[in-house]
Amino acid sequence: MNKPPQLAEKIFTALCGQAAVEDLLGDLEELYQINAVEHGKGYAKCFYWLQMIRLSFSYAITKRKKQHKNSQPQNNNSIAMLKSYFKISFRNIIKQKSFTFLSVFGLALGMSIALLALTMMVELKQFDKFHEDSSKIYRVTTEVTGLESTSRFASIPSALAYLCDDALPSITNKVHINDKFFPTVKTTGDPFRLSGYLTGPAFLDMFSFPLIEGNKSALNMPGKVIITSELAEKLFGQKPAMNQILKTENWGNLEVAGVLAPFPKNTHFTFDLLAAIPSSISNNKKWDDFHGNFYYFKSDKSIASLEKEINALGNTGASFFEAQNTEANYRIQSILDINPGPDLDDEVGLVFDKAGLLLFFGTALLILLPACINYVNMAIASALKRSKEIGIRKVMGGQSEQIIHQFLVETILICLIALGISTIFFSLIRDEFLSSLVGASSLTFALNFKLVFIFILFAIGTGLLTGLVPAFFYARTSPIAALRNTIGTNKVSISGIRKGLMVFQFMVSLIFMIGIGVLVRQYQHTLTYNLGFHKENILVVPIESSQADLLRNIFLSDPEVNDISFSSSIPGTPLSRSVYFYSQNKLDSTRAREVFIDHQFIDHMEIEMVWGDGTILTNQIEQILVNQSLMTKLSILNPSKKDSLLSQFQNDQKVQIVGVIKDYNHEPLNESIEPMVMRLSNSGLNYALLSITSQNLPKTLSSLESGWEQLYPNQPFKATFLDTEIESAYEYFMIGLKIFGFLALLVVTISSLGLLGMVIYSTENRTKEVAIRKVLGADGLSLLKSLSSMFFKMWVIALIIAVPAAYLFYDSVFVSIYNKFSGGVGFLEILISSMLTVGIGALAILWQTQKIMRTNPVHNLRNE
Amino acid sequence: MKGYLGEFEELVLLTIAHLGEEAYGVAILENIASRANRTLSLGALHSTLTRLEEKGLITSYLGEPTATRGGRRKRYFELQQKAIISLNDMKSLRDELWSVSKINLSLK
Repeated sequence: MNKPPQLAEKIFTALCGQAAVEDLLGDLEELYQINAVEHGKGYAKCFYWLQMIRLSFSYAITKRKKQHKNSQPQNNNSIAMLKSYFKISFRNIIKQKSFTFLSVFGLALGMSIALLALTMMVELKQFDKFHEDSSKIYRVTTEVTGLESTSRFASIPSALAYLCDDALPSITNKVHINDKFFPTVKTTGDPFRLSGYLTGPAFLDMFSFPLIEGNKSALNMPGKVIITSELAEKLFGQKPAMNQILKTENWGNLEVAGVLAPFPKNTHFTFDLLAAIPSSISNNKKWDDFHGNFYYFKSDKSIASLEKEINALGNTGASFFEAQNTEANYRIQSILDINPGPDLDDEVGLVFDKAGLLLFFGTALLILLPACINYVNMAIASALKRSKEIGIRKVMGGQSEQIIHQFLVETILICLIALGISTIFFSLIRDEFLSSLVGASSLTFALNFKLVFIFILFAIGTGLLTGLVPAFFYARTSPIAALRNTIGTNKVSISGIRKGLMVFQFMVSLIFMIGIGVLVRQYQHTLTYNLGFHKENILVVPIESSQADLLRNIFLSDPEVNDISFSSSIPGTPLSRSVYFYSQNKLDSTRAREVFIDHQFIDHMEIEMVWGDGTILTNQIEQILVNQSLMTKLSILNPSKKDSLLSQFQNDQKVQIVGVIKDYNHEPLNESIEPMVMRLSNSGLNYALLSITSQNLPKTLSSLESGWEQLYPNQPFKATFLDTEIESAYEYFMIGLKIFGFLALLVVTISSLGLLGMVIYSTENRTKEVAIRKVLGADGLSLLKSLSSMFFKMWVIALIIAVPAAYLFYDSVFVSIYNKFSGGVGFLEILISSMLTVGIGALAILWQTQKIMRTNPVHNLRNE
Repeated sequence: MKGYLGEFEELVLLTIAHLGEEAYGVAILENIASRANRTLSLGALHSTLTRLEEKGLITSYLGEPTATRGGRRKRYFELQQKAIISLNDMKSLRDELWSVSKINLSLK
């Protein structure tokens, strides 16, 4: 006899779900048989499909489905069912202690990073909300489209800003901000560089930064500043700050005319002081140069209509952009969308961009995923223990939905327990994380109600997604298979998907471990690398500039000081000063890092010269030393000049090159060797470098200090060793190492837990097999081989995939960015890291297998 | 107007009456197809049957499993008293209209 198309039948039953359609299927089949006899098989099949489809969408099916739904028993007593789910979940959690422990601990570790990411997200969403009417505050940003690329700036042309002031009636309040305000206050060591905004009194009207002293009208007066309470305390301590004078190098004398009350840190503005916009800037209304000019305003209108108005105004300046083959569009950005927001160029203050945050979330997921995989693996592996329960539930009339609910409730419960433990981890790592984050001072990471609520939602979400896999696995099993303990195939082997999941876990932990190896090697490399100058036994003392000559004599009078020289910056640390060299016709220029030195510096630091002997004379024309890269740049800049050793600065100042220094790493190794010029100066020297040969360091230091105190009775004497200073310039390495190490620890712990769980289950299920093998005379080695070969095979696969991937990633992306002068990733660190990872896992396997191997076979074979 | 019956509903009810004890899906379908010479889908038929059942005109019950249908049971339909009243109402309405017709409706 003919069978109707099976696929159609299956689709139909699937579409109808639980509704009773037995008679309809019967009708369909009967029609099929009739048609097969009368019209042939092909026609009958087509007819069957057609009838099936029409039937599926007919009212009859809709009605039957509804009927079925209303007859569901659990709809009437869902509370009772929920209670039962919880009760059984609790019993299971308590019964399977090792399983619960492994999965809860793993999930807790995995969640901790995700909690950090969530907290950061929640805090960033609160940024700038404390301003009054913050939802109505906007700023204008510029989008410049060139031929090749588009760049977005947070700033706008100053001409447009002043145009908006007069031409837009719909904006009620407006603030100009220029952030190119960096007064430098003179103290010992590096001058104290402040950063502030040039703005008007409207700044304090629009944004909620209250004053405790002074008046906002100070922002109309040149030469007066309003400072934050932190700066007041830093500069003046307990003394009143009002009317004090700040002596600055580049902005003259500034009088304090107001102090701001301490304000919430969660704002994107970062400033130490505020001042009026000088007329030199406000009169300079330009279209093409807009860097550092920001424009904020308040309005009730919608963003779209505001954008229209501003772009209409912006058209007046279109010709300036056309001249450079570019086009400018203006966008309105709500102040609340700045953090976390798009990554704009020329950004004011502190902005965490969305991409970075996304990367953080990605890492958090990468850590959480192995923990979830563990749970799924172990939950399915424990099928043997649960199959009776499932079988009886099904025989008693339990719907597959109810079994799904049971497992989801169980997983969510486990995730909530894990969340509890995870919050403990969270509070432990929180401070460490904040200390390694740039701009962390504006984040608090304190727990509050909203955050806890989000955490719980997150845990429930994780539980739901994780629980789906085991839930559907169990819901699909047939009651007969469940009762006969044959869910899946006999659990001797682990199914393909779960093998894949485990290989993925191994890979992630390998990549992290190799990352640690690479970092450690690179860190060592930076410390042992020959920077090109002498750095041992040199003491660095920050000094007040222009006091060098006095100090030289005092320090040199100490017998343990062999040599002394002075410099504007510590060699081996980043340089901040730069100077421009101009070509003869002043049309072209090149930038060079600038270092001030004294006569002894080159000799003392043992810097190698390519040409000249490093002596600089005080001549009518200033004599300078340049490094090789600058020499190359200068020869391009002044190609036709007769005397290639003469050059000039911006203000027509002529300089003569009297020596070329061999390129060396004056800056940390993550910076390329930049063009650099060394100039003789008495006033720009911020550090004394002392070579000492000391048997008793504390004694030497105290004798130096007493010499210092004769000169400066009020200022503390600070001295550090040069190599310590250089090491601290690589602090980011240590921070990276710490973060990476912690992540790797998490991943490796989680995957080891998972591995342990899998080994426990697979060995437990094979106790009988092992006993029989032993009785038949297998020795320890062959048993070990048969028990662990599967895991080692998975490792080999993981190694084959992960090692090349890790090598490529670290070698090309990582090392080339952070450590330009290293030889790349070496074979040794990859080998050691891989061995270590495999070793940790091998320990877990050996521990479990030797436990089962040592049991007496009689115990396992007795009950049958 | 109470107990309104659609044309197709009336047809289905009368066919069920004709089939008696043997009134199930395919039988009704075949019967209508051969007698009224119109093709209709199983979906349309069952939708109508479901609506009739909702209106309380017919009831249904499952029979015994049969080998020809892959061991599946047939659902038989039975007329209710309400259906007989409705059919009668329809018929008397028709008869009345026939009898009062001012145009000669006879084909001869």
